[in-house]
Amino acid sequence: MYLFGTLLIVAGVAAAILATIGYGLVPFGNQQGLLYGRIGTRAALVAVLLVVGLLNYLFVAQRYDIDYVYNYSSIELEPHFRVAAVWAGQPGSFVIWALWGVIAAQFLIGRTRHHEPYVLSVFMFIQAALLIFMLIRNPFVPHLENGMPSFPPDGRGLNPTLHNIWMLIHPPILFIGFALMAAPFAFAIAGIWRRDYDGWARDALPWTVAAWAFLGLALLLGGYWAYETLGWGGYWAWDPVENSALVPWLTATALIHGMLVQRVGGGLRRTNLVLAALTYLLIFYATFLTRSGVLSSFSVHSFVEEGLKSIMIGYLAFLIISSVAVLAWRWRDIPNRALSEKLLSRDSFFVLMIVAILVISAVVSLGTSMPVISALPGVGHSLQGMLGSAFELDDGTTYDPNAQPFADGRFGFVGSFYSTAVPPLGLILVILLIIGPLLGWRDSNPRHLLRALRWPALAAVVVASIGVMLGAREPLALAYVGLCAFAAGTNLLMIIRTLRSGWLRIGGYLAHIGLVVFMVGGVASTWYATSEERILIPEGETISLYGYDFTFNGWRMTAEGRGLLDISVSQNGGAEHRMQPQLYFNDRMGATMATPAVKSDLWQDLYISPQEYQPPFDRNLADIGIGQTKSIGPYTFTFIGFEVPESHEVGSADVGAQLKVEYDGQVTELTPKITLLANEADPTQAIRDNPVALPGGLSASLAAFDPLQRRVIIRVDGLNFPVDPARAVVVVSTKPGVVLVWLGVILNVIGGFIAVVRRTLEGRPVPAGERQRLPRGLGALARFVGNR
Amino acid sequence: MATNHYDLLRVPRDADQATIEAAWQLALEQYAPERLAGMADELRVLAAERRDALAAAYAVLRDPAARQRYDATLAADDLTAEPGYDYRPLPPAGRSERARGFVDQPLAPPAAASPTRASFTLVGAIIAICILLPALLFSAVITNVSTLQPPAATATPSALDQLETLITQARAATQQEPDNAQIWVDYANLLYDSVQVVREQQPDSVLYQQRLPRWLEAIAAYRRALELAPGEERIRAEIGASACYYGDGAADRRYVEEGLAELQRATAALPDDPRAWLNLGFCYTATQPPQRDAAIAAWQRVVAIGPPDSVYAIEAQRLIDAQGDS
Repeated sequence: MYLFGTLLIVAGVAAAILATIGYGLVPFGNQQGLLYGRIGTRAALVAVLLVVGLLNYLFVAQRYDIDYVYNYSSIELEPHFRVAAVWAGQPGSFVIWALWGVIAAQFLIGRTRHHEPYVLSVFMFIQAALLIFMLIRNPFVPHLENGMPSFPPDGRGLNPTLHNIWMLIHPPILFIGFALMAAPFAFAIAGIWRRDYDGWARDALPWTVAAWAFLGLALLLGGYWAYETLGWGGYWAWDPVENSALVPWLTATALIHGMLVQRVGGGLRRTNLVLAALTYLLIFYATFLTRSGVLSSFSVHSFVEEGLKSIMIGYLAFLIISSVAVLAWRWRDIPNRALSEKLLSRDSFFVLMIVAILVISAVVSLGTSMPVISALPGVGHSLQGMLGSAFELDDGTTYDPNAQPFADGRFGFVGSFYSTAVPPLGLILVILLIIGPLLGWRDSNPRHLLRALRWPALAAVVVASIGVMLGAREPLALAYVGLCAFAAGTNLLMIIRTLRSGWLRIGGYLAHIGLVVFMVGGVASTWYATSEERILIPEGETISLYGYDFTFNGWRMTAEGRGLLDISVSQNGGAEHRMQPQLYFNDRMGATMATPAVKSDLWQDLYISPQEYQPPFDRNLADIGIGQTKSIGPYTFTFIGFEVPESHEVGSADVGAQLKVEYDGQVTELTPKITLLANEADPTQAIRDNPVALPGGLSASLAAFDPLQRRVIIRVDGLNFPVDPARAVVVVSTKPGVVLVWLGVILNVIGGFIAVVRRTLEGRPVPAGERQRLPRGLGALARFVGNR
Repeated sequence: MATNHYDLLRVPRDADQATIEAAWQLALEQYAPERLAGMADELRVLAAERRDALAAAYAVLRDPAARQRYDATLAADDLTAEPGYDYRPLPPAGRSERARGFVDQPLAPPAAASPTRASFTLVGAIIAICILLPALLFSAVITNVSTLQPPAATATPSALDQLETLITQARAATQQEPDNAQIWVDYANLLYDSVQVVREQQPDSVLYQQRLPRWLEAIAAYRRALELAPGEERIRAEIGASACYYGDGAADRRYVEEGLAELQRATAALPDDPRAWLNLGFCYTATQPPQRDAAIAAWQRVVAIGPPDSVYAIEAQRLIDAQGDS
C-alpha cells in the first residue's frame, strides 16, 4: 500500500508538472502543448481521486499498519468519522486541499477560453507544489514500532476534540476556499503574462467571489465549532490560526471590490494585480504560520513541527519573489486609467474601502506575525518595550503557564490588542457602507443622496435609541449599533431598488447587510456579555444568577467515558431546561477538555463552561497515606503500615491497617481488618469487615485500601457527621446577540453565493454584438447548474 | 462574417419561432427593394445576395424539422471544430489604453499550426518523457530519504544486541573450559558491560529493572574466576562494584555493604587502581545514609592517581562536582 499510494502521488505530481509545462509552451506558439496540458490536468484529477479513494479505503478497511490510519482511527470509530479522519491530520489536509484544487482545474479548462494555457499553467504548478508537500508528508507511510513495520490490532483513535459534526464539514469547506483562492492568483499572473490587463479580472471575478464565500463560511463554521463544542469561551479569540485565515478573507474582500471598479471603469489595474497576488501569498503564509511550528507557544491550537518548515519557507520565498518579478516585468506596460475625482462616487468610496480593509489586514497580520518578527535578533526587546505599555503581551506563557518565558524577547499579542485596534477601523467601513451603495460610479447628485438617506437615518436613530434603552452606554458601541442600522437601511434600500432588475443583482448588498448584522452581534456579545461568573452548585441545590436558576442534578459518566454535569436551568421560574456540559481527559493532548453547554434564546445565549466536579465528601472517612496523620472528629489516626499475614490459609486473606489512634490524650494501637474470601458464592459476602472498637465507645473500620499507592480509607462508625454533597464548579455568562453573529455571516455568505451565480452567468460567452442578459426568475438557477 | 444561419439572422441558437419571424421581418425591411432604389449597382447586387442568403436561412429555421436537422449538423461541426483561439500574448500596451476596436480574444490564423504538426507531436512526446522521468526520480529520492531509511537502518542489530550475542558465545566458552579464569573474567565483564550500559543510559527504565539480575550473574562469574585465580584483587574489585550496583538498583542494603567490604579490601591491596577507587566512591553514595565525604575522598584519590586527562579522572571530577552541587 505504501508503494502503491506513493506511486499514485508521484503520478499526480508528474501529471501536474506535465500540465504546467504543456500549457506553459502554448503562449510560445506550440498548439500541441494545449493537448498535453489538458491530458495532464485530467490525469492529475484521476491520480488525486485514486489517492483519496485509497486513503479512504485504508481507513474504512482499518489498515492500522499504515501510520496515518493508526494515529487517527480506531475500531470503535463510526464509519462517517473514518471518512472524515482522512483530513484529521496534517498529511491528509494536503490531500483534501489538492483534491479541491484539481477539481477546480477541470472547471477552469472549460471557462478560461484565451486564458486557458496561462491560468492553468500557473494553477497546475500550485497543485504540483501541494502534491509534492503531500509526497513529503506521505500519508501512506507504514506504521513502525521500534523501527520495524508492524500491524497493530487497533489504532489510537480520533482526537476526541475532533470527534463531532463540525469536523466533518469545517475542514473540507476551508480547503475549498484555500484551493479556489489560487484561481485569482493564477488569473492575475495570466493577465500579466498575456498582457490582457482587463480580461483576467473579468474572468477571475466569479472564482474570487466563490473562494471568498467559502472562506467566510469556513470561518463561520470554525467559530461555531469553537463556541459550541470546544469551550474556548467565544466564537472568535483572535487566535493566530483564526487571524491567519481572516487576513486573506479581508484582502479577498478588497480584491473583489477592486475588480468591480476595474470592470466598470478600467481603474485600479495594478492594485488588483497586487491584491490578487497578495491574497494567495497570505493564504500560503497562513499555512506556513500554522504548520511550521513557529507559533506553537502562542495559540490554543496545537501545532506540530512537521519537517516541512524549510521547504515551506523556500516555496513561500519563491512565490513572493516570482510574483514580484512578474509584476515588475510588465509593470511599465500596464495602462493607467484615472478614477473619478469626485468624492461622492463609487470609485472614491471603493478606494477608501480598499485602503481601510488593507489597514485592518495589516494590523491583524502584523499582530499575528509578531512572534516571528520579534524573534529576529535585536528586534524583540525594543518592540516589547514600545508595545508593552499599550497592550497586553504574551511572552509564551499565556497558553501554557508552565512554560518558560522567551528570553530572546519573542512575544505575541493576546486578544486585547486586536479588540483595541480593530473596532475603530471597522467603524470606518460601516460609515463607507452607509453612503457607498447609493452612489453612482462616476458622480452622484447630493440632493438625491440625501433624499435616499431619510429612511435609513430614521432607522439608525430608532435602533440607537433602542440600544440606549437596553442599556448600551459606551460611545463606540452605540456608534456601532446606530451606524450599522444606518448601513443596513441603505443596503436594504438598494436591494429593493435592484430587485426590479432581478434577484441576481442583490448579492453584494445582501453581503453588506450580513456584515453589519454580524458587527452588531459582535458588539453586543463582546461588550454586553455578562462577566464570566464562577459558581459552585452543590448537588440538589439551586443557585440564581443573571435571572436564571441553576440546579445541579448530579454527575454521571457517559458511554464515551466523559464526565457529564447535569444541570437544569430555568429562567425566572419558567420552563426547565437541561444543560449538560462535559468534562473529560484527553489522552492525546494530555489535558482536561471542557465541552460547554449553550442555551440559545432568540436574543441571548446562556453559556455554561464546566470547570470542575467535586465528588461528595464524607467527613466520617479519612484517606491516609503511609506515615500520615489525619483526624476524624475527636480521633487522630496515624497509618503505620499494612498488616498482611506471612502465610495465609487458602481461600481467605486478612488485610489490616496498623493505626496509631490518639483520643483524649491517650495513644493506642489498633488494626481494623478486611477479610477477603475467595470462594464465596455471593460476591457481596466476599469482603468482610472486621471493625475495631475505639476508645470512647465508637468503632473504626477499614473502608478501602490501595496497596499500590499505600493508602487506606478509615471510617469511624457512630459519629454520624453530615456528608458534604457533590458540587459542580461552572463558569456562567450570558452573551446577548450571538444569534446576530451567525445570522450576519450566513447572510454574508448567501450574498456571496448569489454574486457567484451572477458573475458566472455574466462570464458566459455571448454571440458577438449581443448584450449579456441576466435571467430574473429562479429558472436562472437551473440554467446555472447546467451551464458550462 | 456570419458562419451559420443563426448568426446571419442575428438570433440566438435557442431562439423561438416568434424571434426568428421578427428577425426575418427586420431583414426584409432593411433589404426592401424601395430602400435600395437609387443605390450603386454593386451595392444592389451585394444586397440581393445578402437577401437570398437570409431567405435561405429563414427557409431552414422556420421549418422545425429542417431546423432540427440543421442544428444536428451544427452541433457536429462544433464538436469537431477547435475554437482556434490565438493563444499568443497580446501586443504590448505601452502604458496606453487599448484602441477602441482592439480584439482581446483573437482567433488563430488558419494555417499556423498545420505544416509542422508531426514535429510538434515529437516535441510533445519528448516533453512528456522529460517530465515524467525526473518526477519519478525525484520522488524516489524523496521517499528514500524521508521514509524508507528508518526501517532499513534499524534492521541492523544495535550495539546492545551485539553484546547479547557475545554474552551467549562467552557463556558457551565458559562451559567448554570451566577452569580457565580468563574466560570467566571475560564472560563476567560482558555481563557487567551489558547491564552497566543500560544503567548509564536509562537508570530509571524498566529495561534496567529487568536486567538487574545480570549483576548477580556477573558476581557469580567473577567469584568463579577468583576461585580459579586467588589473589587477583582486580576481580575482587569488580565483585564489589557489581554488588554495590545491584544493591543500589534493588534497594538491598546487604549487597551494598558486602560490595563495600570487597572494594575496601581490593583498594587496600591495589592503592593505585583508579577504577576500583571510582567504584568505591559509588558504593559510599549507595549506603544508607550516603557517606558523601568518604565518596568524595575516594574520587579525589582517583584524580590524584591521575593522569588528569584520563577517563577515570574526568569521571571522578564530574562525580565530585555533581555531589558538590547536590
